[in-house]
Amino acid sequence: MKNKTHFLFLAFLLSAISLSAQKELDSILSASTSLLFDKPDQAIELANEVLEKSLDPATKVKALTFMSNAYLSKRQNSKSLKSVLRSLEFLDHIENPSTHIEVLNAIGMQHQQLRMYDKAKDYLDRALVLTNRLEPTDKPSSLLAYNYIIRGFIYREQMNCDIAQNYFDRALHQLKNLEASPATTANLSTVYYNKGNCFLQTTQIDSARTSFEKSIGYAKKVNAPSLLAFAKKGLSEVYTAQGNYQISLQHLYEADSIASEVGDLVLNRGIYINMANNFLALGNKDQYEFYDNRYQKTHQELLAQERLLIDESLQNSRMEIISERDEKLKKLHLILLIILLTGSILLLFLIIKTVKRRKQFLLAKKEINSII
Amino acid sequence: MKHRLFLLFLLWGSFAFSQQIAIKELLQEAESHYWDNPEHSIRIAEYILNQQEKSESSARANLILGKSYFVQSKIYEAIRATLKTKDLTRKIGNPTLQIDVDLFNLELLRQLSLTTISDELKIEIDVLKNELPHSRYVENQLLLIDAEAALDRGELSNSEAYFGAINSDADSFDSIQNYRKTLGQARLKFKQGAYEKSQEILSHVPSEAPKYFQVLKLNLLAQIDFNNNEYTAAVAKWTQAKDIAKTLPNDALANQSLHGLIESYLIQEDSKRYLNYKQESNLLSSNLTTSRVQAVNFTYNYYEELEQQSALRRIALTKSNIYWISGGLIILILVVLGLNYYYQLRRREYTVFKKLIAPQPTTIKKVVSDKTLVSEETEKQLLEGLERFETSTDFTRSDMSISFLAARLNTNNKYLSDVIKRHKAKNFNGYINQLRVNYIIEKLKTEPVYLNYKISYLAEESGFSSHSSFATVFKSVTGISPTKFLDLLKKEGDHEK
Repeated sequence: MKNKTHFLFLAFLLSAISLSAQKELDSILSASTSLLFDKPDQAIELANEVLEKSLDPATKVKALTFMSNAYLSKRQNSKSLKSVLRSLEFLDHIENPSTHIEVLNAIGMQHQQLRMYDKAKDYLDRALVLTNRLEPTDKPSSLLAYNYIIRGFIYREQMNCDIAQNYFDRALHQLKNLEASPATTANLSTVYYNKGNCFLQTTQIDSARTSFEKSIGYAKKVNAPSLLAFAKKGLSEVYTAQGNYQISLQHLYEADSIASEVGDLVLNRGIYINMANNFLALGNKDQYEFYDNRYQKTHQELLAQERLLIDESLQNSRMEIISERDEKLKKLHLILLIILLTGSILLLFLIIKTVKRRKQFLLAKKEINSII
Repeated sequence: MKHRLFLLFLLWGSFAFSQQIAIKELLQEAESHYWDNPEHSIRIAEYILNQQEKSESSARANLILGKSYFVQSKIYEAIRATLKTKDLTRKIGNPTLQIDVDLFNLELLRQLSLTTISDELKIEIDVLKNELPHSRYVENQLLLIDAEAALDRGELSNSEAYFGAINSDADSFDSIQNYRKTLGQARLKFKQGAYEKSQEILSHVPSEAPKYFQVLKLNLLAQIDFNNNEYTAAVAKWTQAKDIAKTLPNDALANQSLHGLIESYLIQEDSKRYLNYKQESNLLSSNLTTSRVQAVNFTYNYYEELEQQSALRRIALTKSNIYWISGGLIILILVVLGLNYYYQLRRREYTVFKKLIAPQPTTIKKVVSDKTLVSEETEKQLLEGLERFETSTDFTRSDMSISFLAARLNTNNKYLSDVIKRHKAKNFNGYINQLRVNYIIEKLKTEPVYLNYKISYLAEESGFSSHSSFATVFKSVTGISPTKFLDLLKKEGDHEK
């Protein structure tokens, strides 16, 4: 759930990134955002190409951020982090503080994904300090909102919901400053969804309901089925907590039918476990077992997917190291071959010459012996 | 003084020895408690790690640390300690310890779902186990790990096959393995829907089993009660399990109990407890996910780094091979070049030598130019005089000069010089030097006794004022030094004999 919403959030954010970069190369990246999620390998190749061709540090930074996101969607977290950290070296050549903040925010987000919270906060703090230098034309609100949302995620994951709420509220304040756009609306839905979960965690049931309802409203406005299904699932938990199992089930059925278009296992798993719980509470053991089974199945499927992803990612990374090594070894072996070949030819030539010399010497010696 | 030193040494030695024994006992203590009281084992392990660095004991302590964290479901800390031990153990080279570390490492990798790496490790273990006397224990442990992993993945028939293959009769099958097998089989039966069979298997887990297994047993029994609609009994067992799990503390097991409790309170419509436990469970889930994500990232980076290191080593090895081979080739080439030069030098010497010792006229005759200062008759007379002079030994006189010879031949210096220049192609000094060198070479060739004389005597004999001027002139006339010439003559003469 968290990851998927992050990706969505990221996609919107990326499309909103506004760097004064080389126009042509820049637009290649902008046009290829969909590659990030569907064909991350192609996206990485593209980013590498742009990185090599571009002379403008701002475009390089954008290419690296793009690459980092592609690695993130491949779950190659360490590579993702490395790419975005690489962009730090180009920052010195960029004056625009908003680029600095974007990069620092992105690094903060990477660390949050890796659950390295202290480092994440460190980078987010550095980004925040720079916001004082922003001009109103730099759209400080969108940068601040992003910073606050990541902070909110961190505290929510650490179950410090009070602090998380505080940051989500600040993020909302900034988002509402922005002009209405699909990206902003989607972000509003995401933030309200997370707020709802936090309210549930702190048993503020009514506030949770309001938040989820707002999340639903924004999701409908931007026509994002995934966000809508997540929000509905969240709302169902409110009704379960209040003992309104039938209403809860209604929302879950709706969420389930929307989710079937989305095909997100995390979403499905959440819906099935909630359905199972409601049927359990209603004493409907058959339906409970039916949805509990579906939950278990989806859970296993999700684990298997995760397993495959991580395992494949590590395998790919190791294979890359091995193929890089083999390429270097190939070159070295070629050098060795050349050395051996030229060396042996030279040696053979010299040996033949020396044998001749020796023969001449022995001949001279023989002649002398015949004289004396 | 000596006594004192000896005593001190003895004292220190016995202290060190007793310390070793103490550490061994501590390790045993920690080893036997981690399933029951991981906190205690962690304290002991940390104490030993503070005492010793990079020894076998510290490797063992790290392994116990890893296993204790595992019992506490702190998988990030567990994998960190284990991979640290792995590096250390590789250097120590104790196969028994190494296989212990590898087996536990395998278990963690299976938990983290790093399939390819764990499969590679399993192959390593299979190779290594054959060197050990207790390979049966290792085989059983491998089956146990595979059976549990298959069970977690929901592959029930695979899991059953692995459990079935375990040889529990083996002497090396210890009580912990027995608990794990029993609980695993009970879980398997539960998942297959055979609740009674599962309960019966669980009755074999005694109440004195370590806490970790007690919690597993209680959680499973509670789940069976729950599925049999005996909610009160289930709640009692889950509550007990949760409380014991918290003493370990093991968040994963406690979370299992909490999940059961959440469902039970949902049925009993106790929404307050439902929400409280849900909050608690969310917190535990979050911690567990964090630990897991960190563990996966740490392991990922470790194995990536390992691959990188081994790649760098291969490249460095190839490079050093290139250096060695190039170095060897260069040395060989230099040797052959040296030999070549040696033979060239020797051949040149022999050619010169051959010329010198070949029979040749003692007189020097060469006509260079027809232009003459002297009349034909005088020239003829002078040439006859020179011929006589050449066959004599007068040129060996040290006071020989052009005026002397001119007086002897009744002519003047100018005429003599002209005739020598035109007929001998040399100036007077060159002419004399040539005669002297020819003379001494002839002597050396014909009278072996000369071979024993010193160079200075030969110089004097041939009319040179000093050893060095003789050597210089000899070298410039023949191409080799007089010493060399003597050597060759002696050597070749010996050969002949």
